[in-house]
Amino acid sequence: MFDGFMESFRLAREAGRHSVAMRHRLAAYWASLGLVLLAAFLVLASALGMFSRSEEQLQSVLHLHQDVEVAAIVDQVEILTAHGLTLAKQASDVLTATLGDTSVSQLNDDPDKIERFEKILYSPLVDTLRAAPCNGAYLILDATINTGAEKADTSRAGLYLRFANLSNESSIDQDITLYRGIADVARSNEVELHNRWRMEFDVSLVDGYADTVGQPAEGFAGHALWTDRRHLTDTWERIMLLSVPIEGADGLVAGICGVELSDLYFRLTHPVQTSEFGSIVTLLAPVENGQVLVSKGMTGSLEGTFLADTDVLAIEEGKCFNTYVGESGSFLGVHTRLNMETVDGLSMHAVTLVPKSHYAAAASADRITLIVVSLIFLAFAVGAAVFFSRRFVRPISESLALLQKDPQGKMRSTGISEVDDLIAFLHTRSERPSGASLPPDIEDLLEEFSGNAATLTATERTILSHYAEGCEVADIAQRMFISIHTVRKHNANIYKKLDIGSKEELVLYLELFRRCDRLDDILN
Amino acid sequence: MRYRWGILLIAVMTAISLALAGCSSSNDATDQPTTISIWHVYGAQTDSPLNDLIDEFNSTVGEEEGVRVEVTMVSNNNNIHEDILAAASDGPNAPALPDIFVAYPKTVLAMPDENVLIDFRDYLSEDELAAFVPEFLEGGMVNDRLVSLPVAKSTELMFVNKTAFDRFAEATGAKLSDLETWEGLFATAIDYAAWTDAQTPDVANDPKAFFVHDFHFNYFQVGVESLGEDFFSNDRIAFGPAFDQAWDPYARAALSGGVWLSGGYATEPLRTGDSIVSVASSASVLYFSNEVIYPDNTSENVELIALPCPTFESGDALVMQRGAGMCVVKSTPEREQAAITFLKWLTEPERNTQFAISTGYMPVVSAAFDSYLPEAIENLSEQKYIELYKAFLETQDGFEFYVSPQFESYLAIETAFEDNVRNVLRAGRADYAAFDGEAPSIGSISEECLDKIKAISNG
Repeated sequence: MFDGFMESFRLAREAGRHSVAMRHRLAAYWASLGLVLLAAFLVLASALGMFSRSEEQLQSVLHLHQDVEVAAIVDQVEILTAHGLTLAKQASDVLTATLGDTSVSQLNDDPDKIERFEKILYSPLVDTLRAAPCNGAYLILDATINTGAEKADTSRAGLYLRFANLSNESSIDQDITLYRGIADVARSNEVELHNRWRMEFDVSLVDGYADTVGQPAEGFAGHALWTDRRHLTDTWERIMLLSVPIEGADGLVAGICGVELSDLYFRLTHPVQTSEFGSIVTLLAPVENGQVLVSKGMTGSLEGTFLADTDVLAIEEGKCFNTYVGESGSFLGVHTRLNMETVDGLSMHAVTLVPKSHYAAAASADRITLIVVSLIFLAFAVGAAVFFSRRFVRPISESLALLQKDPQGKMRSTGISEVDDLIAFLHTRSERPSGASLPPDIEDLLEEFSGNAATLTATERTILSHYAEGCEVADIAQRMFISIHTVRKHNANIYKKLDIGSKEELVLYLELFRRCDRLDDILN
Repeated sequence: MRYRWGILLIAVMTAISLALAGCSSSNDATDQPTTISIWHVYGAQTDSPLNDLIDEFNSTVGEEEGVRVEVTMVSNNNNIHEDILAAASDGPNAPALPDIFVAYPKTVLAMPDENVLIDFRDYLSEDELAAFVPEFLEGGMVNDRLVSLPVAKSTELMFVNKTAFDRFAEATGAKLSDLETWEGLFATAIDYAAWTDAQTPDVANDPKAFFVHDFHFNYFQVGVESLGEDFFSNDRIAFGPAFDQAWDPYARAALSGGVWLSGGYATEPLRTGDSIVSVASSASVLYFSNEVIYPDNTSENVELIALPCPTFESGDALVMQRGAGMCVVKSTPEREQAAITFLKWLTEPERNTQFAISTGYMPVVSAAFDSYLPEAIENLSEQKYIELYKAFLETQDGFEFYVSPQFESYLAIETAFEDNVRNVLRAGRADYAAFDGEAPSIGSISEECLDKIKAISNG
């Protein structure tokens, strides 16, 4: 009997070791559900293109910027062309009025006439400079003040006015300097000479001049040609020139005129646009043989990028946008051909670029956002799983604790019918077993033992009660202030009266009485 | 035990986030430079040595540290002054303030709120500040704040077209030594006007100007101070006896046609052969050309020399010190630090020497004078620069430097005086030239002009 009891205890302990708490199971279920939802979200996000969102956004941003810039540049070019043609017409009229139907070469070696001519044309040139979106305006005549001077072959009279200060985009109050022209023209109009002033132009440095001047003007009607970017002699500035032929009274091209765009002016009038993909820059540059020749064009503000304005960018065509690779890095962008005729036949394009690294950082930021959102979702799911499983299990745990503390007490409802049923069932089983509920032979055994216990003396019953409390012989001797020998002597009497042979048998009986809640039957 | 999961998860998330954030910020530093704008005066419309240095900075230290300097204006101090005031006042069509600009304290004083500028003492350590010549730093102080960091200093020197002067000297016996005093210079100017007028006997009254001064205001200011009087009194021109003393030889030469009275910089009439001697900033060397272009479009390569500024016979050897400083506009900590990075780089002794000597200036850090300047001067190859620094060193040895006082109306007084003196003397010159035979004495016209100047200035 004792062995069977111990075996049942051992099995119960083993079962406890392998079982998993309900709240842990519940937490795992909830977390699994969270993971499934997360996976569903990621699949959905992927299906909706959220992972490629940056690419589409960049494409949209680039094209929007490009459309605006192309419109602005086309507008600017058309306005400048119109001003150039008007200026050429004005110069032509002045020539006709001054020279009749003779050639412009009549002005050679006549500084007074050339000065008068320059003074007359100063006003329309200033008007062009102030009215047109440019920073310089010029006019060259195919005549020179001194045919005997050194380099007279390539020295030609004319006027070249530039703004002294390019920073201010407002052109109304800007100071003007005379870069080329007779000094007295500047002094009579109270403008300063440019730091690198010269009296005449060196036309060997002016692209297209030799091919145009002296030719029949009919062949050049409406022509307006741009140069690529070049260094303005003796200065730190780089410029592009628009040149329009001036028709002389004799029907030949008597000179050229036009406007200047400096790279600084272009940079100031095309500021960088900031976007989530970094700085968006604008270029006006030739595209030849799959390369953007930045060094031959204009760059808008390069703020926030390392793009060098001397670079050459190789174009790698892409589906949504292109990649442009040069020494100063890789860029993403688009380009559009412009209707700008150039002296050397280069094909000018408007180019919109963003640094590739900026885009990569922005795309990376998107990914990070997605990862962080997923992690937050996951953390929330785990937290919720823990919270709800605890909340779910708490009434069960509390009821179980109550049951353990007071098996006979009144049980509260957990709100879960199945659990309430289980507790009710356990409660029923833990109730004091009635005589009828015990097997007859056990009941007889207990009755007999109880009867024997009634024969014990008061001292023997006290010792029995100490055994019932789990004391050993030495403990009992100490508690009762008697010797161990005396205890053992009482033990011998107790065993004899109770008809048992060992202490183990005694303990088993006591445990049986305890479990049947009948210890009082033998101790009182 | 039951919290381990959560703690582990949070730790992993934090680590991932930090790692990703770390990657992202390191990309920012290298791939997205902090671009700062600068307005400066070094080179104006010519090839600018500072622009070349900025290119060097951008491709070296700037690239390493993620800083890019973008030049958005190269002009002169007056233009920058006007645009800074317009920008600071948020005027119509005014550009935005740049991150760095070159200005004299007078510009800072005229700004509506000088507190938009950083105090360099908040950004440079005591050791870094101690590297500068103390007087130069002092010149950048406005209301007890170091708002203008010196990067180069200039002085006024005399530039002479020696080729033309020698022709004149050969004909008249004039000597270069006559130009050591103002009295001698203006007397020579009168002789030169008469000599050039005589070259064209068929054209009456067409003398050529011998001398042009960049700033007539500076002539009077330094002249009066060198004669022992204060030029200013209660923020106005004092007009004491020393002013009259400075006025007389100058006005006589101007009325004779020997002084250039038109506007513009001193380099202009030398470029066109309309004048052969000027007093201007040493930095003008960038704008002077050895080539003179005459009205018939012939040109002549001339020898240009530099000499110390003249002094009055009875005056002290005093000369104007010039050279604006760099101001940094308050913005974001990144931009301000980027500006400081560039300015520290520019004022390293060797580079400061390189910058100064390529622009006709003197460096501003003590170590540059001791360790680099002598060698840099020895290595100069262009004749006009060799002459310039010879005169610069002579000036340093023999002159005391004068720095203009700082007060709010300084620039207005300077501008008005400059215009008034030129206009009054031009009118006087026309009067004097118009009379023939019984002309009033030049002395009386000079006195009339002086009275007008005093009346206008005090009015």
